[in-house]
Amino acid sequence: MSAITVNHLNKTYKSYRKDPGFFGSVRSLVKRKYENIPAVKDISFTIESGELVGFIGPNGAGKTTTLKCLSGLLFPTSGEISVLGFKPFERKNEFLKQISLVMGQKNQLWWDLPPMETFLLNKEIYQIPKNHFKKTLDELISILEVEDIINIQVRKLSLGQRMKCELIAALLHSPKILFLDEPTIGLDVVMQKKLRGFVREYNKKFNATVILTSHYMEDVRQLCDRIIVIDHGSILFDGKFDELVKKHTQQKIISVIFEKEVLREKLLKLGIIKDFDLPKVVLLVKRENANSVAEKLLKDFSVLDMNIEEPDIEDVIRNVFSKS
Amino acid sequence: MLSAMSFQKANMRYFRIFFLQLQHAIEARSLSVVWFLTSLTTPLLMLIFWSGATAAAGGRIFSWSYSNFATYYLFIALASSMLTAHIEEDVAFEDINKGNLSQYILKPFPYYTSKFLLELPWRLFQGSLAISGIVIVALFFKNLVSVTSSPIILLLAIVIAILAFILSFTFKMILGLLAFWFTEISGVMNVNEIIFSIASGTLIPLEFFPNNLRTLFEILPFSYMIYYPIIAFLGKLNTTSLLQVILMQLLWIFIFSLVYKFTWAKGRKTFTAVGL
Repeated sequence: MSAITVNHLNKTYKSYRKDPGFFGSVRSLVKRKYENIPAVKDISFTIESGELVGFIGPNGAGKTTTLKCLSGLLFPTSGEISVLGFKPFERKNEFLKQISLVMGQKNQLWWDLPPMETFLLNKEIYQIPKNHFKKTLDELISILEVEDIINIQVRKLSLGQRMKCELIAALLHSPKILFLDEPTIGLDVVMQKKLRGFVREYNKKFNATVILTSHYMEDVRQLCDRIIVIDHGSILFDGKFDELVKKHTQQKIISVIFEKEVLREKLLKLGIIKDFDLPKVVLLVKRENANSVAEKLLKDFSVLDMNIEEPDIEDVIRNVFSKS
Repeated sequence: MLSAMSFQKANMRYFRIFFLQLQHAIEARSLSVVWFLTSLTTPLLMLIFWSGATAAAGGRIFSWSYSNFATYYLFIALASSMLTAHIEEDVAFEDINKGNLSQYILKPFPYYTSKFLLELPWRLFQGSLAISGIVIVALFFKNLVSVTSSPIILLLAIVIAILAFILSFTFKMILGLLAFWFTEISGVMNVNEIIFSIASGTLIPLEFFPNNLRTLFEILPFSYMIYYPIIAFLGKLNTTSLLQVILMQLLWIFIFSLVYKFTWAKGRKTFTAVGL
């Protein structure tokens, strides 16, 4: 059985629209204009248990709305959602005990108390058996290296420390499904990397289904086998990362370091010169020609080093969105 | 045997959650003291007013002497800090408007119970401040504080006080949930404060109102949150009247719990979980 099934999901927000200025406010006293804003439009997908899926899309694309619907926070305008066989909005205890939603910008930790108190509260709320609680907590504390901070008031912790503790609070009940909304937002590069490693490990170790939204393409590229690209509330792409790259980029990048000086004109015949800063030159070539161009470079020039790379992921995504 | 054990376990769960919340209230104790002092303002002002009024009227107004007034307002201070829930702003502003409600929706624990366990420690903490105040006053002015000496009436008065808190809490929860529909909920809350302070007997004892208004206040739920618990403790009601009060309280709790369920179910559908 699939862990998550979404069929023709629609979510429309009703929003009040006010004309600008003072008279706009006066007019709104008499008559209010409401407008329906579709956030998610007729999306369908299935996610198997143990999958690690990334949702990509610009701000307002519908990623977070989808996550909110999947976790039961929002009432879908139409369509069907089944998560572990439950309808999320019904908030059955059995369902809630198997999921967790971590939001980068919102926290569940008690601001005035040390994180440990929130952990203990969650132990009671999720009715986690004592031994299981202790084992999971010790494990999470040692992986995330937070031994020293769990008894310090939350308000005194740094953003990175708080995020680690948020994760612990969210994982104590060993959820089978983990929704991560922008988990690395505001974190430094080292911390981002650690967090990614941790998510990957959690997914593998517990065969947990993980759905992640992120602005940082690196998060998604390094973590997710499958990505779903959303824009304007619709799915533009659903599949493997490599497929997306293949489908939406016709080019590959060849960076070469030459031993001797070369003439720009000679290289122009091989592809588009993206960067010419001798001894390093970066060429854009057609995907199907990449191998033959590489061979030609090796044959006709003295090459010290050469790399064939996929284009920058940010460029790929930009390409997808510009087409939509 | 098994069910008894699991029942005990479930109770332990509420107990532990309550204690965690109590820690939080103690952690923010300065806030608690300030709130308590705020709740003293109205009773103290009213007391000054009635001291002048009783003196001008030759010592008594209706059957009330100055010491009757003093006792009444002393208990008003206790009831306002112990029995009146102040959860509505938390529900409306923090949970619904700022989106904190999401955290509650995601947990396998009822929102109503979570909030109840959050509110209870504050009431107990502030109530104990008020009780210590009353004890100190009673030590100095022996005749001022006279609660009923009948154990049955005292017992019924305690039941009335507990029901008063549940009634006030459920009402305030509904008030807070209105924020699902109104972004500017402060206006509604202010109107409620005005009606509440008059109809609950906080400003003036209900005896002093004209008959038709009094009848109206006896039907409305507010007097069962403040006025009746107080006069029950003061021993002004007989057993039959006390039972009638309990009946009215149960009726209002029943009505409010239906309204709460309806508001929660409808409101959740409009919730947009903003700020995430």
